[in-house]
Amino acid sequence: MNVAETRHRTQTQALDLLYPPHCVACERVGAWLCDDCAASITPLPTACCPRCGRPMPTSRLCRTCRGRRSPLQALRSLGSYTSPLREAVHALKYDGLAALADPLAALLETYWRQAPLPVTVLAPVPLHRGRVRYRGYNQAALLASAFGSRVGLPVVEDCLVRRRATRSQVGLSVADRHANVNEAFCCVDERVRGERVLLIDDVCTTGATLAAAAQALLDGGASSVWALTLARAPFATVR
Amino acid sequence: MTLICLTLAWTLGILLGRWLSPPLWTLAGLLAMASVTAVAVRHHLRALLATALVIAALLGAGRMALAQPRFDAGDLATYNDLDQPLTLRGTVSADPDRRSTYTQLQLSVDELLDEQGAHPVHGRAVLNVPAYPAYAYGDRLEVTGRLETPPVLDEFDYREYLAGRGVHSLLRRAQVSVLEGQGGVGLLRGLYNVRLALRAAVERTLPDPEAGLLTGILLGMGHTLPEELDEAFRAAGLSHIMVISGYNIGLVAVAVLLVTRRRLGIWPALALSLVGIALYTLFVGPSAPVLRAMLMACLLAGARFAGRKSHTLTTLAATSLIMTAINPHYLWSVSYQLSFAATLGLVVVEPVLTRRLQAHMVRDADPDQAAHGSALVRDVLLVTLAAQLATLPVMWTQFGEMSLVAPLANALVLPVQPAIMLLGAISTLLGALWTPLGQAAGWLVWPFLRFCVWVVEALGGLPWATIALPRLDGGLVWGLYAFVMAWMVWRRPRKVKLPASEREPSPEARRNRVVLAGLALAAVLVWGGVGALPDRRLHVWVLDVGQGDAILMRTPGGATVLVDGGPDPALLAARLGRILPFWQRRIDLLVATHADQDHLAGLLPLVTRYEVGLIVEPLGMQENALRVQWDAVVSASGAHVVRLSRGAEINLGDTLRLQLLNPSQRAGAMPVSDGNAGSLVLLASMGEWRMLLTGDIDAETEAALIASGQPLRATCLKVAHHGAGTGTSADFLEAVDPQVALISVGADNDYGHPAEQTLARLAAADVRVYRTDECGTLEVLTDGERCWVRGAY
Repeated sequence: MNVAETRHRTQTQALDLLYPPHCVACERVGAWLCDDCAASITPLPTACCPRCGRPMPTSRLCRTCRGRRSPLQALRSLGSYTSPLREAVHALKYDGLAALADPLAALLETYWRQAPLPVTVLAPVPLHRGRVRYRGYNQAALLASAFGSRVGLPVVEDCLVRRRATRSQVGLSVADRHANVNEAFCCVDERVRGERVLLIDDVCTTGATLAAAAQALLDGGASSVWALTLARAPFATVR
Repeated sequence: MTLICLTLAWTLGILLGRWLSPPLWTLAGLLAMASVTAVAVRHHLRALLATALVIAALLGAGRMALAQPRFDAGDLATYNDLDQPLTLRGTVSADPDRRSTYTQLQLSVDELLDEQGAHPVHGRAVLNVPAYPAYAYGDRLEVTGRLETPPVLDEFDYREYLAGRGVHSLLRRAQVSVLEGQGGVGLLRGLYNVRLALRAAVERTLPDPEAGLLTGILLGMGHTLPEELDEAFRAAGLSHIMVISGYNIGLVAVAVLLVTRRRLGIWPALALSLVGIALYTLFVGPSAPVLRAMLMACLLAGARFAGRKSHTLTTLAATSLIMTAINPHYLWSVSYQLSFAATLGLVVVEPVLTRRLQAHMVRDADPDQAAHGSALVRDVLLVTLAAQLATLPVMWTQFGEMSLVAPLANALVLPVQPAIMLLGAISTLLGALWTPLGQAAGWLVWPFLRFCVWVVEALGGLPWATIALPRLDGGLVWGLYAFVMAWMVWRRPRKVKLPASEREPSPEARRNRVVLAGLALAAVLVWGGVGALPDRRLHVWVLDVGQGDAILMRTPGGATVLVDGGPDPALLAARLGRILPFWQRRIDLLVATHADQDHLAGLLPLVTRYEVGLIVEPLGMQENALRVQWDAVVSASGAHVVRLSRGAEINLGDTLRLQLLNPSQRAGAMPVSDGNAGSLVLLASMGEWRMLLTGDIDAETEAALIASGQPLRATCLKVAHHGAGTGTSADFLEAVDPQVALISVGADNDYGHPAEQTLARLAAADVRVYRTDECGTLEVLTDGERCWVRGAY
């Protein structure tokens, strides 16, 4: 064991003493997301549109996606955006619980291992500069780096950037969401040229943000773009 | 959970350390043994944890042993309880505790003076001094008095209380002189000056007792309310709103975050809010609840920095650990116990209550209603109920009583606290800049404060507001408490899953609510204003200020006259605030009949709180210590003073006429030694109606008045000297021939006022007698022909 590792371990133990991990959903002490709650995450229906995730009788493209060209090859999510994933995402995003990124990445890893996608690099969906400063970090970037080191994929950060501060997507209709994030992203360098990129984000509702980010990656030279999010909002919540 | 257990072991260690007081070397030996064991068992988690608990307990005992006062040769406490008075020099080491009638100073003593010269000593003493002249933090004083060991009283261990503050001596009957000012820490001096200026601004902008309430809520300066209201606050279970606590600290932190986070980002904003909290802590004084809230806020911010979420119970344990490590005496401090118990209630008891309720509602109602309904009940009732249940053992062991009305009182009063803090802070800051501006802003906060006082008076005044609890052994109560708390933590009901309601109130609904609140506020203000408009009658109030005189008049035109102020400024201010309309901050004429404590003392702070048109004193008012302070206060305020004697006449708005009948001296006369005989005597008249105000004169002066041939006949007589037997002679009564006599006197006073023989003489003269000790404040109304008397104001 080297010095840095020991120091890190001691630091973690001290922090565990002062701020003991307790489950974001049921408050039980022991882990930030306890095993019981992690097991109760609602998986998405197996039969769904491979592009947008809409539940379907069979796994074919849904009518909307058939009519619209999407820059995304496929979109995967760990589970639906209900308790306990909802509490977890809230804690990660709004309560400053950065320590939750790694346990969540571990869940993503398990999910990923069942059927990995043929990607070469990871890219977190970026936040606007002001939002990163306001929040202290980009939760998607935390997820991406923890997930990347677990599955052995490199993370390309700061290539894809958000060039304008868009308003929150919460409460907008599908059309408004697409308009809101249209042209919001761009690539600032050539690092994704020729790569098969996996976009990482916390929640996906209609996929508008992911689609806009994917288009920017394709414009930046990526050969194909895929997406993986922690949670997927049930379709009924957006009109 | 580990830290919670360690804190419990540490606390137990402190208790055992105090109980057994083991020698330090024993503890050191045990500690060494435990440490060796810990190293030996370091790979067995359970054994290691058990050893760690033992080590924590030993450290706690050691901390307590170190905190026991040990008085060495140079310690001030070794001079306690000597027969002769001592002369000491030292610096005022805390912001003086300015009470209504006196001020308590904490002096850090460094020199002892005797015939041989100055000897270095060290230690702190507290002493009570008159409210005037005012002393400040950092003043270097020379004091002479007797040093005493603080007493252990029946109800209250004053010695332990002071020991917790590092004070082991009381200085009685102290004579004080200032050597130099401007000592101490500059930052603290600045903060205390700002605080004093803000308090003065509050007192200029708002009437009492609302002003006193606001200084408590906002600035943490308690002890500014009259005693009876303090009592009502305790009975209503609302004393805690007068204490700066986590609520204020949280508000400061959130305010700083809100203002700075968007612009600077989270980390600088967090750092700034910590700076803000630290400054506020210094500003209001690091009392136990403030220190607790500050430490918890720091730990919360630390969690954010570490990318973690705090576990509230662990954070509370860590806070307790830090505080008792700084000063283990905290464990015996009531404010520390109350503060921690209340927080424990919010962390442990409230979730239990709420989840029980939610479980019921989820079963019986539709889920959305359950979410809303339970949030409402929780905010209004369960939070205060939890805090009250959790603080019950403290109330039990320390005060032996429990408030029955507290849940209702808290549910009514707590929702308006944020409005009071926000509007109060605005009006205070504006008032510090320019008084009229602050007064205008004060109209907005006044109704909320008035509402609080109304709730406190209504509920705290109920005869069954509190019940006495049987005396029980403290150990038993606390043991039971620990058991219940542990059980609640252990068998904590699981979180009830409620649909996450994302329905925010619509902007229209929110706007409607604001408009409604504004209309209600306006209605209250208008009605308050209409009720206080002049009614073409002369009102005279003989105020119930305890043992003393204070008489307020309002002419049909609305001019105000105050004759004397009673012994207690806070009580006088509260009585005035209740009678005068809330916007009235002016007294047109202030009359001091003589310089005795029970007439003049109440007037001193009034001169700075109200705008005073003219001050009238008797010519040759006696020169006592109070007179010297009065002169200093009056000349500092810049109010206009005239000294008058027999023959002078004052007309107010050509309806009320005041004629001066006494004293008889001419200008340039020597001051009299007997103040009572030199009292101003006033004959107030309007139309046919007359009232004679006699100050504290005795039969001799009465005879001189009769002999002087001045008109004495009056409808109403303010009986001289609170009804003392030395005055109100039968001859005088015959000369005045009153129909009504008013006696301003305190219940159960030490002087036996009013005297039996005076009452007998009044009865013989067939005069109706009204007394403030029986009826409270008395009100006389007249239209110039007829006259009414009302009691129990």
